[in-house]
Amino acid sequence: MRKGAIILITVLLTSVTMRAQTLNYKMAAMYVYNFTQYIEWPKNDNSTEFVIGVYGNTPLSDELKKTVIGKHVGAKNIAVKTLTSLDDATNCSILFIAPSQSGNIKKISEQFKGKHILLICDKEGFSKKGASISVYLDEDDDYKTKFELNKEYIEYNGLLISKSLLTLAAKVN
Amino acid sequence: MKNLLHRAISVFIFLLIGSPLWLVAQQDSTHIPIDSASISNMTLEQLLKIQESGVSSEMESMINSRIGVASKKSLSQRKSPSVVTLITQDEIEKSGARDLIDVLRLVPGIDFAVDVQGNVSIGMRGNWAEEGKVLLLLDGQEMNELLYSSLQFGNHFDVSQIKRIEIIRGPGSAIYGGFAEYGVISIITKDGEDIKGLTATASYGQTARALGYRDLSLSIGDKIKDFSYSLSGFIGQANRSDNTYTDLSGNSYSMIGNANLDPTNLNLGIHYKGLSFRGIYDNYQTTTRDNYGPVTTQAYPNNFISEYAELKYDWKLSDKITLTPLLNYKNQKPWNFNGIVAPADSSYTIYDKTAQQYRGSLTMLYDVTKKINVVAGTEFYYNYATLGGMDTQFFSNGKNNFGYSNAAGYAQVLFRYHIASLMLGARYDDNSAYGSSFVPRLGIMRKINSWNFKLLYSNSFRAPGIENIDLSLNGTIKPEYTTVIELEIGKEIGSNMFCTVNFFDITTQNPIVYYVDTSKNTSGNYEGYDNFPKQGTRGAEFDYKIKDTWGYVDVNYSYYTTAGKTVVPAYQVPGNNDMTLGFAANKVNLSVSYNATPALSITPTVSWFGNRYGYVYGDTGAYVKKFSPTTLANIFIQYKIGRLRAGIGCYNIFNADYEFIQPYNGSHAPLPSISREYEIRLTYSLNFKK
Repeated sequence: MRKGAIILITVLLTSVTMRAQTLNYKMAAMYVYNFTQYIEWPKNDNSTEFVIGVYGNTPLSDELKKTVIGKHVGAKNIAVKTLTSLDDATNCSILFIAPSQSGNIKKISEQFKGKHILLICDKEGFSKKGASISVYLDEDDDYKTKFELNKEYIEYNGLLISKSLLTLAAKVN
Repeated sequence: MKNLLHRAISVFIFLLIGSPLWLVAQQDSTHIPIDSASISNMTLEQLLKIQESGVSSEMESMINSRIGVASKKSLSQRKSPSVVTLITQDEIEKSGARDLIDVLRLVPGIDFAVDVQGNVSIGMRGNWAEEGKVLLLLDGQEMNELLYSSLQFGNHFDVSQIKRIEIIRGPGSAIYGGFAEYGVISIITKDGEDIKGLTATASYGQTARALGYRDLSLSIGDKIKDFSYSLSGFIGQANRSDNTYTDLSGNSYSMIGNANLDPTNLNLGIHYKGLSFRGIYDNYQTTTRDNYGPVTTQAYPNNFISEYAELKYDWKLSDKITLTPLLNYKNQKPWNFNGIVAPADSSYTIYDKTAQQYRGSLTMLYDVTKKINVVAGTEFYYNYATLGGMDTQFFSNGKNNFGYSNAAGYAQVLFRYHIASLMLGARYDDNSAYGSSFVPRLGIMRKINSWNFKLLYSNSFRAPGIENIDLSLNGTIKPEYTTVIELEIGKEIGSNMFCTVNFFDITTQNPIVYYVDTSKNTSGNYEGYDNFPKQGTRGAEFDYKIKDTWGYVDVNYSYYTTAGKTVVPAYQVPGNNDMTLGFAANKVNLSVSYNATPALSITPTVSWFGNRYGYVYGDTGAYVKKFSPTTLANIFIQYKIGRLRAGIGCYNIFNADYEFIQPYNGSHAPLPSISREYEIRLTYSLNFKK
């Protein structure tokens, strides 16, 4: 019995090969799309596309492409672009920062300040570090997908935010 | 133990392997797996409502519902640092349970037995736990009486008012103190928001020979902004049994009209923002002729009267810190009899003692970070007992009063990390009558996708009650200490099944045991309490639940053994080293509830008990009898029509001869339970207009 318990506890603590629950990117893509229904971008540009840029390598890119098929923001078609450089992000309305790049979120936020871009991350707490919105998996609430937002960052970027989005957010910073 | 382990693991693996077949058969029609198509038109509100794995099923909602009993920090069942069971209002209503015995009997590891004077109480994992070893909380109030710390079951508590029952099937002393050695049962009744109007429930049970029971329950409650109130009342009458009790000398009597269980209960709850008040009046009037075993010539009252009042305030200092100061008072007259005894029944004596407890505590819940949570508290209580006017049995200090105080502090830290959650806790008590106690606790919990694991090491203790101290041998009694090691493995199978298996090992040092010793005193028998060397059991429990829109199935199996453990002589089965008196080593429960229509549910429940042992009367004197396996089967059919909920049922369908056996060698013969009983229940709810 004692030997069995020791083996089990060892397995429990060292079973790193077992996959921990991660964000469901299908869900995350729907969240990103839905944010476009609650946030208003300035109407003074003449582009015909609403561009969602994804910076860095993440499965979200493909999921977003599937999600936005046939969807619009106002009269604009939605286009999803995978970016390898932030220089290509200037015409984006939403910029999703992949986990591989989210360490630079503060720098990226400074770079795009006031440029009418909604910066989105997928790590909890990052709306305090520069992201406008962060979609994350809440481990403490049975792995529900939630989002937090930073009202100040969003407004500072010249975007209008609906009151209902504030009430739906798990946290408003 | 090795064989047991192998057997249990085999069964577990078999069920896991077999589960895909079940999955196909029982696919949840409401479950929507996440694919782009199913969520492509969902709004943000809809997305937020669904789980990462899809739409919450009935089962997911249940196993993810939060319970606070295990740690005072609200956590899901799978993450709670204890082996826990949650019983919902829906399950109680559908089962047609007559009282708490019917509800708790279906829980793995819990069983019932008789003590003396007709009192039936609880056993946990093969251990007799009537006196101060299992804590029963009713809306946070400790139902254990203060003199002997005992609990009384049988048409005592109003099950129609219960919203949920949270059970720790293991130790809880590190937080709850000296009554929570083997388990904690926390009953939460409906509050104002749940009632929102008036509700009346009338229940009636009839056997072929006599009234089974008749109970009436009324409640009123509402919530108006930050203010809510609930007031419920419960009154009833019951026969413990319609069978015949035969003592160890062969004398017998019919229990009809001689073993009454008549409750009167009032429960008031008031909440305003963080402030709450709870007041309970509980007058449980019983009669007995079985006394300490030898029957009396007539039935005598044996009453348990309690009053509780509690005021507490949840003071939110910040988003992270909540302080809860609490003041609590209880006043009790347990085992009360102050009438006149017939000369032939001189063994039944007046007992008229009042016990009071004044308690104050301060609890802090502190979310240090998202990953670290601290629960810490301090508690002080003063217990005081006095003799009533007719009681001439003075306390051992020669006075008509007796009191002592207890100060305690406890802390628990919960670390929640990816690799595992770790819980560390301890409680220290300093008691003016029996000294200090220290009980640490450690738990490692891990959830990996659909699996969860818990490894728990807990120390717990039993605080001697007033009479344990007063009637102790040589005037000294120590708290008993228990070490429990538990391992639980849980698996969520699909969206509607959940399976757990746990193994436990319990060792109690210095168990407090009541005994009679003819060698101690030349002027008569010495009766009292003393610490014995050791007591313990080990075993396993298995629970398999299916819950869906069509209903639910719950099958569980409990096993304990005393093999390899030391057992108190009074609890031993002569010639059998594997079991204790009174409790079946093997027990199986099955509950099935089928929603034939949204309004109609059919719920059969079955409890199967393996062999049991107990002292009975024989032609050549008392002997230990092996009771063959017994099956108690019940069915309840419930139909809802508008505001009315009507139900009919039959309890003990096979009319089995089930007896509550005394789980120690204490000269009391088994107490028969009631025969086949037909039941009808009507509940009518009237909602207040908004």
